[in-house]
Amino acid sequence: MRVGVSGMNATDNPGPGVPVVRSLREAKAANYIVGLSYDAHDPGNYMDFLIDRVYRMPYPTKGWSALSEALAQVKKESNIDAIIPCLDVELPLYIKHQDKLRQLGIKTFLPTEDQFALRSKEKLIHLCRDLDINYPETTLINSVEELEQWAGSGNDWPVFVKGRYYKAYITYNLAEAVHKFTEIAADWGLPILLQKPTPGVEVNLVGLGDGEGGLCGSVAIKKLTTTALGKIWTGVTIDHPALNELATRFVRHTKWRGPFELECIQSPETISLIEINPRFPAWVYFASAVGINLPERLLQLMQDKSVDAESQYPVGKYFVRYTYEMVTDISEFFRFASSG
Amino acid sequence: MLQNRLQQLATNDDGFCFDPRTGETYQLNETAQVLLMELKRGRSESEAATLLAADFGISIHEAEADTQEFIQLLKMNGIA
Amino acid sequence: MSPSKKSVKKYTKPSILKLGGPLYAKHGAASKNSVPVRTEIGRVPVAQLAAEFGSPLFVFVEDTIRANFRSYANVFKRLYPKTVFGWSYKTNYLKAVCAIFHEEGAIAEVVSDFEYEKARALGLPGDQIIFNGPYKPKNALQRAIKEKALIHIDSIDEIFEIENIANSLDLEARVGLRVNMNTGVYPQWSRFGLNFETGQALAAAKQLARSKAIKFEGLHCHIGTFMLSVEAYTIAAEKIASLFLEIERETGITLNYIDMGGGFPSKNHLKGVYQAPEVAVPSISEYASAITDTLKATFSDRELPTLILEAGRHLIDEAGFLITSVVSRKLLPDARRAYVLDAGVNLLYTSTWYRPTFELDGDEGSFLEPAVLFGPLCMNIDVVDSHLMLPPLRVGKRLILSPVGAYNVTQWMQFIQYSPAVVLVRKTGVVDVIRERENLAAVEGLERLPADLNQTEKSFQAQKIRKAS
Repeated sequence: MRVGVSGMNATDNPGPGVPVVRSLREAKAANYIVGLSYDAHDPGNYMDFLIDRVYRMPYPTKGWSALSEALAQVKKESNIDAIIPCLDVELPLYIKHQDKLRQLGIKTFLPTEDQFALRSKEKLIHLCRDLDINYPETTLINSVEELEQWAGSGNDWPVFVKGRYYKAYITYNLAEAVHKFTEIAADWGLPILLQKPTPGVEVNLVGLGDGEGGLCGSVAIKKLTTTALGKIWTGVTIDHPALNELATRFVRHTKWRGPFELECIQSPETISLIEINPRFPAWVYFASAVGINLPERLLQLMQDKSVDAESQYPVGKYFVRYTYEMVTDISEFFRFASSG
Repeated sequence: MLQNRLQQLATNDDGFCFDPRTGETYQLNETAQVLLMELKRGRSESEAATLLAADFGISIHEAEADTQEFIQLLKMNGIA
Repeated sequence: MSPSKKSVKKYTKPSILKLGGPLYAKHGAASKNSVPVRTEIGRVPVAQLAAEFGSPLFVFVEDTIRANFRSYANVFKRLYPKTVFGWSYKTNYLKAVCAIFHEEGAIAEVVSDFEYEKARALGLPGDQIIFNGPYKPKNALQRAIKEKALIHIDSIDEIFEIENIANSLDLEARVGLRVNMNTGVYPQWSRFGLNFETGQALAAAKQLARSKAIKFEGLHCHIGTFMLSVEAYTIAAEKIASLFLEIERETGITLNYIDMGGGFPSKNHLKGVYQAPEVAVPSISEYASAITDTLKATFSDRELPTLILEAGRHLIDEAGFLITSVVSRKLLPDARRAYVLDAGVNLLYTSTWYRPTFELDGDEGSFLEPAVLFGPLCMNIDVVDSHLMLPPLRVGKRLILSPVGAYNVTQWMQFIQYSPAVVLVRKTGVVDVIRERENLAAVEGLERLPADLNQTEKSFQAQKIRKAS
């Protein structure tokens, strides 16, 4: 299979693309892999040991016409059979136009628009109610005035200021919150969420839904240390029955189609759902390395092949993310800057 | 002086340009590539403008104004 | 650079772009993008329009207006046959535009005495006018009552005033009640009408039902503008329908309509929304289903009330274009390119909230540089766009902005410039002027110069003579 993968930004705020590609490579699930990059500086662009060819894509804000034009070019030159979009901001476009992609001869395995909307940060509270799971107290705001109102109506600090797509900062006072509100809103738009921190331990799960209510494997982890941006640095696989059960319930209830990540907080008594990401997390290679290769299974689902739904993995496997350098010539950068 | 500085710039056919002194990278459009090449060759501002006017069939006034502005841009970017 | 190639190459202004700067990061590298080209509006060449009618120029396309209205009306009619469409005058009250909507079957929704007079002057009977708004002067109310227009109550004081006028005329006023409510979206439009949650609306309804001078016919709400949340309409419809039934139950009167207002978005790019409009903006069918499903469910065991709608932006925005030209170019001290255009915020009131699409009237290549677009006003705030990626442009180059059909030709301002002509590309391809470019006589037409001040020329001559002696 010839596959396109986005999210080549293996940076300090990593996209999932490179780990997805590595998973596919190690499973020999794809024989030609194309990187879809948004920036000539993306590290994935330079990983010729993993990726056969890289294209630079128009930003999602340019809309479908720009994206379809670029994809037609990729299809023509590299004859890809499938795409695994890995970034939150591009998903609405890909999801909306899955049929048109199929007509272009490009397979995807994505949630429907309705499924996608269910887990949006604005609506997650309703889904949590349906799944009978706790959700932290959250307020949607669209302006600094509303933030001031929120602060003035007896709410306690600290609070998480979260973007619709990216970024979440803990803030301890109004000035900090206003600062983060403006920063996130400028980059990722409105609304912004104010979320009360939930006491407990964060646990995460990556899974894959078959679109008919079945779960094609999942792995639960605990992040042991994170970077300043909250990204996993070291972590360990765990066995968390309540989290597994939640994943099964989520997939059965929504008939989720495609990869997902659950971010939860476990307190002594209860588990709360904080966020559902509609894609692979950047730590997805961790799952592959312990034997649950979800990117590989995703390609099997696309091809209507029988899929291994095994979720048995060793507990206590340790994950360490590290930095590594490559050196090439500036002309390589020019190559990506001009055409990709 | 200008010529010496410009001589250091490494450019490729796609109009990419690397300034080895500052490490900055630039992209030039076709007209800018032509002008940079002529200036590197040691042409004066007015000679470059004359060539530009002839090459693209534009008025000498426009060519002079644009050449002058291009040099201004190089200066603003710390190249010249 | 051989002389043999003379005059064959298309000239582009020289440009150099530093890679890796903040704008570069936001937009990607120059060569991968391009600016869309538009050579025609409604099949008429842009160059021809500008040559004939000047620049700047607002251009509307009749086919688009009619097509937009028909597809919107069909969606609602199919789901809910008892739908009446009002055309929101304030969105664009040029006579020709209103006439097209009336020809398509829309009644008028007006919000001031000026708009009321416009609708009547256009030949619309009073009973085809819905009169909204927070301020309806006494003489306008008198006329509206006499002419049987449907008046939507905005405040308790207005109820008293209408009763007084109706009594003095010995007529019955046709009245609906505007209701505001929390639909879960921000900002909540709580300043118009009477509030649902606090019970104000019900109390006012009881007062209306008791009044002998008033024929209380229905309820109205308008929850906001450019509403991207379909769910808000479901909530609004639920609330207003429940109020409708409660009023009937408690007062014994029969109401006959629910007016859900408008607020449906166009395919414009609201600032602060990351995704492109095609992804961010729900289809009109989704809004229609949200409203009509809720009404049908609530009124399942009785006759459905008439549904009135008052869309504006959704119907006209995409039918309007603005042609503007580069009048000069400059380099800002931070090496950014800047252009001065002949159209600025004086004509683009909506550019504060929306970012239109910028198209060029010809291909200028794919080498883009960050550019700032200034308008023609001698005011620092006159910035049309501060971070657009454009190819280097020469003076005289035309840009086409769209969608700009909603609100701009009603909210444009009279400040140091003449407002441009507005033309309509007809179905036939003929271009009609529907508003002339302003001139001195039109702008000064209402001014009066006291006779003793009408001496400027003489006094200058006198000064000259004094100086000479």
